[in-house]
Amino acid sequence: MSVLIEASPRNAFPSWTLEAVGSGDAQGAVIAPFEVPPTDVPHHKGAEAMAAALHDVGADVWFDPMTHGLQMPNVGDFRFYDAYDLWPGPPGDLWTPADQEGHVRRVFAVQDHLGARHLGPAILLHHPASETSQSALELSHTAMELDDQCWLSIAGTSACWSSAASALDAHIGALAQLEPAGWFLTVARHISILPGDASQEEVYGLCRTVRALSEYAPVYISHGDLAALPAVAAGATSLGTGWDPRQRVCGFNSYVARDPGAEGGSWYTRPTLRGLLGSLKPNEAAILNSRDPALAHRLGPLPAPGAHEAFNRHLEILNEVVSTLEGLDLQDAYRWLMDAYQNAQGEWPRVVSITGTPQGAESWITPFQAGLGRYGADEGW
Amino acid sequence: MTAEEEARQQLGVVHVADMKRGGQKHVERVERGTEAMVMKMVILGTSRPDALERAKREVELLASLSSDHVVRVESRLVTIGAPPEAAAWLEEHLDGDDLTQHIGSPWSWDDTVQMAHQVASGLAVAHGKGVVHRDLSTNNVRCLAGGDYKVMDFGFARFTLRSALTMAGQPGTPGLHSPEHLQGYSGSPTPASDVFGVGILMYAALSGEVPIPYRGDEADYIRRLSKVEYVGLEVHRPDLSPEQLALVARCLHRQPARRYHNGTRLVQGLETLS
Repeated sequence: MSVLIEASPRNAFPSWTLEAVGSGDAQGAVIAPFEVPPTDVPHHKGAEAMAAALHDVGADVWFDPMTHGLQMPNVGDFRFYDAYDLWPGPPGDLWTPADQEGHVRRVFAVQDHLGARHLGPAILLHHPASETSQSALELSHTAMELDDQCWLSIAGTSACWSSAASALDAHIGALAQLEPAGWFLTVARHISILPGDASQEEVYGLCRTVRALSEYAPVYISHGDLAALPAVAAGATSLGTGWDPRQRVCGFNSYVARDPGAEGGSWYTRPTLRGLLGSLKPNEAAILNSRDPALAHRLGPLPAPGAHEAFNRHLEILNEVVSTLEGLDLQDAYRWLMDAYQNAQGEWPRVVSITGTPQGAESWITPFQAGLGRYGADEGW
Repeated sequence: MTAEEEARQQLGVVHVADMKRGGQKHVERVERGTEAMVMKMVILGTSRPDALERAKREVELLASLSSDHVVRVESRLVTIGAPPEAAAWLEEHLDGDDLTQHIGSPWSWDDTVQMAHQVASGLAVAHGKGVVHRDLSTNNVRCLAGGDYKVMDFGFARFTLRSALTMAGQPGTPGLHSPEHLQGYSGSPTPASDVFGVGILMYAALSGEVPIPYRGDEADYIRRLSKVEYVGLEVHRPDLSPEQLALVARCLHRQPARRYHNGTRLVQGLETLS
């Protein structure tokens, strides 16, 4: 794995994903019940057809049950979710061991039907030491009892990943005892906007966790996108992305109830610039290109205008960075990314001054650089 | 009839000599026929009835462990009084003395590895059954007269019955805790915490002192323990190779997921280095 396309309710999900797989820019896709119906419905290809198409081209197929989405505040977008048979009782009811087992069995059954690897469900954590974290551990244990070759998922809010190192490390240590075949890690945020509201503590916690878990099994950063690059430097093998903010950030607002017929979300037309490890609004990019075309070319180059073009360039950049990091040992990967962040820190002020963009290095670079730096300091680098 | 007398009667043993008598735990040497054994008894206090049932199952589990490096349990758990006021069981009697008596002068690497390998082998059997020791210490490892080592006092019953709890509701000995002993809920001790314990034993054997000593100030101890703050072993033993130092450091890693996950993995690590 390197880059996976996260599920999207957009009807372009199948075609753009298959195109990305065909060009070698994506290894596969993650299908999820909030975004993709189980079978075809008007304007939306179903999970069955999507999985079949992905299998046909030899791509990886994952089905993330997104159980942690049910614990997000104001969750209510069940237009596709309710068509899946994922619960023996009321959705979200995990009170008893029987409830947990019934849910995991149904999740695995859907994954079997789609030809996807088994990936256990996760409970959203706000803190790694709580009754909820105990339930999350038990749910993971149940999944491993049903299939000791399954992957496990850990989903936490930014506050959870930012928790005191001793508490987070102990919870991760207990999960690591289960020794699954691999891991899906998710940082859940209040809102799916870019750049997200990452903190250096969260990045540090995620890096520490990835460094530990990746010693024994591959780690995927769900909805990770550019924010997951420190985790890749710390040993993660892959990250999730897409063209829409909800594919690049796991945000609570992506799962709230929508007005019938409203598509919601937005095409992410901002071009990503390799030298900035971030993106600009289309008009900001146009200003940069017009006022300092040499700088725009050096940082980019900029893609042609359009959502599809912006997505393709974004994928290209992600792949380039992820491939570079994966080709290095952990210490060199750390140094390479720290250098890349340092360079981007140096470029952003000029870009901000030319374009007037309100989000510069302090949003796109600083928390990631600082969190990665703390991880590196722990390692003695 | 005293509680001890009733326990002896139920277990079919006769008293030989007291070994340890504390507020919540009583240990004595006994004989069953001509066979020397140890009877351990804990006072239940306010333990819940379900804890007693769990303790019974745990003692049965300990009795089912088969390892040359784990003390053998020789009976089921019996209760004394109605309602139960104490619980007791039998273990094999071991010669030799505790590891505590041997800590002081720095050991050779080979002697340390022999001890760690045998302790880890004993733990591996327990971990394979889903059992965590939680209180590995120099007092709980016996150096037998023949030179071998046995892990003692898994203390299932003792811990389950909450008669030996310290920090965060966990058992353990100050100076010999893992950072997970500070945690509750999902972060409680796991087999990797026992591996941390073996790391402490190795560090103590090689240097003559435990890595995170308890100096009488609980807040200071908890701070150092939570950060796993200790003087690197290379300061005490510059003669050890980087690989040898790395093995001990891995056992003592702050993140349990970065240690050897359990006794079996540690045994493999020790054998790989040898």
